[in-house]
Amino acid sequence: MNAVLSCFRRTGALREHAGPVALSLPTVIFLLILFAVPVVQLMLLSVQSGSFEHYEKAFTDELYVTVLLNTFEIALFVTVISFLLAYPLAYFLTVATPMWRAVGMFCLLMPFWTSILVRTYAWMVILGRRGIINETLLSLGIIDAPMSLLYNTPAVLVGMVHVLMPYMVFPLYAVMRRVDPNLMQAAFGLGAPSWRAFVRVYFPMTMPGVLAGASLVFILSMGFFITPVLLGGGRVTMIAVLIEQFVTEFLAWEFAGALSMALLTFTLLVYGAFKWLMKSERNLA
Amino acid sequence: MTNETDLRLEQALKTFGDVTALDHVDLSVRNGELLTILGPSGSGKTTLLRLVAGFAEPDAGKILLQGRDITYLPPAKRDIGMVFQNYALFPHMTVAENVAFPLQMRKTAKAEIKRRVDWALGIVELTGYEERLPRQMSGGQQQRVAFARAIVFDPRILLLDEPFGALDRKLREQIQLEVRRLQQQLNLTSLFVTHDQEEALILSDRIAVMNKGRIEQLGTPHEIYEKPANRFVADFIGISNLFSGKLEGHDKQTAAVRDEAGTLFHVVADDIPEAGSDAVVLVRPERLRLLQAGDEAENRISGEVAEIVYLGQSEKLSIDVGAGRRVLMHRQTKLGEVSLDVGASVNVGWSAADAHLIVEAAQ
Repeated sequence: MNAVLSCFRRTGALREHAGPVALSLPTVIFLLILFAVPVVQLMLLSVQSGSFEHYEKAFTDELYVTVLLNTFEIALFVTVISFLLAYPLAYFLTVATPMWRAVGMFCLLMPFWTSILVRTYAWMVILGRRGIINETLLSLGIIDAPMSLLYNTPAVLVGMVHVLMPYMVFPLYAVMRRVDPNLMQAAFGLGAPSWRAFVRVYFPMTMPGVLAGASLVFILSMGFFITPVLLGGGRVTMIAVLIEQFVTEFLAWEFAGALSMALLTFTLLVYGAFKWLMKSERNLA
Repeated sequence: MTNETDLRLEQALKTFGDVTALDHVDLSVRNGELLTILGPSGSGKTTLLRLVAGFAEPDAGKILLQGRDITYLPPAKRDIGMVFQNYALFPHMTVAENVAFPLQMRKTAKAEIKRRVDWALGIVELTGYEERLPRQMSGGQQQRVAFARAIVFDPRILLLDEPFGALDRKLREQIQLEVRRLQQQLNLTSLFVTHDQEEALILSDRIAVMNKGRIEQLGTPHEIYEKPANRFVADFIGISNLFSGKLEGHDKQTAAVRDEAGTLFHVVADDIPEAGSDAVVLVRPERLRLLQAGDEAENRISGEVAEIVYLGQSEKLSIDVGAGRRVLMHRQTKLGEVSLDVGASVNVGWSAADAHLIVEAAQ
């Protein structure tokens, strides 16, 4: 380690980097041992036999392709729903009085202080056959028999959106706070009705926040595990659920490795797409 | 310029809690003129502009634009061009898109938009900058884009909200004159808000001096400077020597005022109230001259030079004339002239016609 540092010191221009490098070393080592090495191992495992048979299976077998597409679809829905809910909320936070802003922030942050498992079980209590919604509707006589609200895709979406929405709200809020209120007034003054001022001026200016939030939510959705397992009840299969099954039930580590690689590649592709969008957005704005 | 009124405020009232931002203000802006609202911060000038632009509604009173009541009309329907303090250019749009924006909002045909944008950018001499983004331009250029955007749709009037504040001094003077030239060339009725009295004097056809939600005086720059209606205007515009006292008597055109220290001043005035009234004599520092032995002057006062500020082309003298009074004098420097030192005894004088009489309403 000292050798590495002295190597930086020798060149005067790099001396100033020595401090930050030293400070980041613990994290780098931590990530190397606990993240990079296992990932590479899993990857090697998937091609251990010297062939790409596992990959062939993962990408040709209709079952796995369906699960991959399903994962993509759910992530897309979660992202869109989160966006639709988060955008007005983030706007409210930017214009709210300090008191209401504090209340809103508290409500948003509360989920972060609660275990994801607890929150998911809470949804099961709410959506179950004898859950709050069914019981209420039954007692009001609106329905005759309990509806099945649990163990389907909408239930999974509700749970995931609940967990992931803050990741959409905060980037949006950060960007919206920086939009000069004079710009909207200028738009009105120049003849724009409210909705056109929004479409032409406000929304484009918040686009960096939309992209940042969407990429966070989408990427996190792709690897979601607990919520689809519990609220999907085995009927909604996302790729992370499948990987877990291959590891713990079928002990097929090689195939799990291949599926993991597929997920990782896909996630990186999505990440790259968002990066590219953000870059072209920045060139534009 | 005709005498037709383009914009009229009638008894406009606006309060924020206990604060009266606009106190029943009446104001008429004539067709083609540039009228400046001048006042310190908190005088209500920005509130007045916001009411005209439609960003706020008055509690009472009316606003008429070319005879039409626009008091409660949304800003988008007023056809008013506005240049904001910090320009408020849309950062994600190019110069051409920014200038085209008000035309697109009016659903103007594409070819016509192109023609108008070219025209407006030509007017502000920014042809060739169409594809630039605002942040790729200097402050002065952004200012001109904002101006082009405000005039491109042929607005009924133009509002300018301290638009030169962010520019450095040299550029500011140049752009001020440019805006003035374009405003006259296009015969654009304009309402201009500023706290900078020099700017107001340079640019305006008329100036309305505001204080505490009221218009203290409305007049040409010349009237405002030479014949301020009251102490506030005299203090706010330029530098004044003020002597307050009581009117002693007058002949046809000249009033005699004895100030609190007992010095008698003569001042030419039109309407002279009866003897015994409270009155203030105003004389501007540049109207004072040094008296040599034997020089005659209708007003004279002697004192001791307390301070000298040399400015190159001119110098400012502060003269202690006794009884706690200081007189400021501003004189051109000339080669070969005897220079004064601090502590020198001097006589200063001015003619009765160079002074102005302010009669304060009894308070």
